[in-house]
Amino acid sequence: MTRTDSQALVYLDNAATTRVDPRVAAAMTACLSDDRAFANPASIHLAGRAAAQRVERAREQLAGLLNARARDLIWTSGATESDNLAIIGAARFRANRGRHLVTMPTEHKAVVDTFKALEREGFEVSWLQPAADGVLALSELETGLRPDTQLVSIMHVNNETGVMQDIAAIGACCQRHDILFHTDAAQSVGKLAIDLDALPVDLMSMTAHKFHGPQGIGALYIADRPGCQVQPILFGGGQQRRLRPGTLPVHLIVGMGEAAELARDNAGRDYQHLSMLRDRLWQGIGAFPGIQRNGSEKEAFPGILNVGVDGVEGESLLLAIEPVCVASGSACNSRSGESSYVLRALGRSDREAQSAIRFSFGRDTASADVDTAIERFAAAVRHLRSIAPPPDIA
Amino acid sequence: MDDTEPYNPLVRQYFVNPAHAGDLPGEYSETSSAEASESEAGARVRLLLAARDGQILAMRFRAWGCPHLIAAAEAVCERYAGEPVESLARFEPQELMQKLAVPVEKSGRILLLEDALRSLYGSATGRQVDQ
Repeated sequence: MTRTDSQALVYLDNAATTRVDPRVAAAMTACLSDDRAFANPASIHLAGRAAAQRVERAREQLAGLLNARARDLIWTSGATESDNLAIIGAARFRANRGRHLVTMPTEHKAVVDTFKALEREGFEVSWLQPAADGVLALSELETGLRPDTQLVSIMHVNNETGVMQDIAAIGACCQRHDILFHTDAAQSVGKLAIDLDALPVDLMSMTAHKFHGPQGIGALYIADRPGCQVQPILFGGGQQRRLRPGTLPVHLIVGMGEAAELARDNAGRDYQHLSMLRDRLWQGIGAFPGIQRNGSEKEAFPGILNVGVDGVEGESLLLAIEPVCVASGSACNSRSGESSYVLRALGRSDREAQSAIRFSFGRDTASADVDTAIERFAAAVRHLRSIAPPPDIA
Repeated sequence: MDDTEPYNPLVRQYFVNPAHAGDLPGEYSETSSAEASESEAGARVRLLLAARDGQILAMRFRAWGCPHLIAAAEAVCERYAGEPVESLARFEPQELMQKLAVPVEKSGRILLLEDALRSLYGSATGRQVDQ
């Protein structure tokens, strides 16, 4: 039995995944136990059509959250697949026009590694450096574009630091140069107001489990405009206009639709709640000696607070702070033993990156959770600093 | 221990209650110290030893690093207290890695501790550990 089995968890790792909202779980359970919804939605018989109706209703719910047209949304298995489909699909589709692509080293691995795969395929990638606060300067983007640039991919909210990029300005810049703009919005969809009818975004990746929906389902938005198309990267069926074949998981899609509707209904409240929690935590720990925030404080998504702690190593802090669940760097590489490549790209030393810890909040996070985290954080830092050799003690 | 549990119970125990963390009590007159660090990852360990007539009276450590490094330093201090100083030269990293179920990718942290122990032995005896 691990230590955490007998203790109440305080979950502050919502940037990794969120708890499924009970209303989402209820909708999914109802779908799974519905006599008609079990069928393959691609089948044209009565049961198949009943399942397809649920899929289309969910697509409308997601479209409603984003102010997009439902037909411009493709179901995927999550943001990683959406990123792969958007980036590889768009690059290959436009390869005859040019083979230059643009992104940033602070993107999620799903984007970084996809661009690296395209480099091996012969595409040329420019990696734009953000400022020390993580924000991309528009001038940096402008100078990085070339006549043969076909695609720019810049994430909306960084999963480690919470830094927000100005996707409206970036998209407008791309549009002026007739370049496709993709954004990984895994951390922002369902948490920030997004109006795809107004935003100059061509491709947007999203996933349900970041906004209280189920794991294993995501979507890719593909704007309906000339030149904005992607080649499929999966083959084997004609589903979803042949862009993403495979039998659709109806109950997961129903869950994502429900989560989208709840996010839309709670939009203002959720944002205020996240802001209150982030500010409460920072008030509680910000005065500690040797602590600093990583990433811009101005262009900051309120659901994430990333801090560096002098004299403390991140993995040890993660263990010492239990039963509070937080992340040291990205949850996706927390078992790799590597320090955060995102923080190192912001100019942090390897040692500083190893001292970073990420708190992230959700709709169901309570003020009391934050208070517990402050208490445990203080005790953990004291414990580890009492062990550290003198120069590491602030 | 399953694959989802990165620390075995002994690591957790040593990490939560490192009885040998800190400095040596002032009562000891013959003391030695040694330090080793990984420049790349920043992990660092300092060992302190009090000995008399070739016997280790007490050991302490300070460390900056992952839970496995802290637990390993604690385990070493616990293991050698009361032993002959010569026993430091017979440190077996594999034995400690097994005891603490240290994953292969973290073996560098145990080798760091080995470096500190060799250096401590040299400092306490004026001799090098035979390779």
